[in-house]
Amino acid sequence: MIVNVEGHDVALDEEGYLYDLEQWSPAVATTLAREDGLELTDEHWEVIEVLRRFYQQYQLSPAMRPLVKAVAAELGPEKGRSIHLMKLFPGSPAKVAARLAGLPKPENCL
Amino acid sequence: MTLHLLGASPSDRATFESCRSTLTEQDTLLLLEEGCYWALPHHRQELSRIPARVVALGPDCLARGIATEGLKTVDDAEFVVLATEHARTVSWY
Amino acid sequence: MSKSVLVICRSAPYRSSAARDALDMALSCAVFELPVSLLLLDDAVLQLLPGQQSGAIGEKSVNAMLGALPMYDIDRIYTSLASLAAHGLEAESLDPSPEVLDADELKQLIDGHEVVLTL
Repeated sequence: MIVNVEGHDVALDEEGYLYDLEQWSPAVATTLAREDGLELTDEHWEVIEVLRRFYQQYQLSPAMRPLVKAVAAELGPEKGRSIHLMKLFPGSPAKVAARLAGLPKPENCL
Repeated sequence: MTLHLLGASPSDRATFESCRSTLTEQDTLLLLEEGCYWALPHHRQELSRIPARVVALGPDCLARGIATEGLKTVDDAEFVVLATEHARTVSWY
Repeated sequence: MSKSVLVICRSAPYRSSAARDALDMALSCAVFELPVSLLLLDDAVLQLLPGQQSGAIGEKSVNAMLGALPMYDIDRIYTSLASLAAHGLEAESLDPSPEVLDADELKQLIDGHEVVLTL
């Protein structure tokens, strides 16, 4: 699967995750989000940033519980709650947000 | 009450030492696959010094030409029974 | 009451997929909310050596991933005195720093878990 973002071809796997994590850019995130019917707000972006830092540090895409923990640690307990993440990234927040952040699909995810 | 499965040959010293360090008198050590070579005469003495009861998987010894006189052997069905009689199983490969 | 799981790994980090598999298994258990501990024996203690730049061989860092265990509520990483001694290592110089068990404590650790998975 290929999406074109600002004149560049970006390759996605069967489930819509980036093949090459280096190809990520905010514009890629915006394009992928639109596919999901999401308009990215500041609250989305700050979670995406948390995810990208998590991956940089641990080289893992977090499942839901560690994602909630990481968001709570960086953005405060108000935002570090499943309900907040569910609102921003409906369905399965760990999977949806990882895709937008240009991370691999979380493997240990329900 | 643990069933330990030793599948590494005597040349793999680290595996044997780690396995041995966790054995208690209530445990059973089952030799299988390459672990069966522990039943060779050369290694028997060391085997006799471990605290756990030692048994070997008959078919695996047979396949490798290892004589099992003086050592209790079990067949596959008895292996299953052993597994159910112990609280847990730990593999050493 | 969920079963307590002990994952034992005995492999150096990039020898095979064993180290990754052990980690994946521990993380999966944690996601299913099973109480899980990780025991790194023999060469597996080498997973805890800091400063692993595994990008040099095109691998993800096992050491970095071990650092994520507390995020999954896995707070217990164990090794044995013998494993440290075999490589001349001290727990304080390792990251994450493991709890070090002597032979008796090792027996008790195994005895204290209902399920033991070895990789």
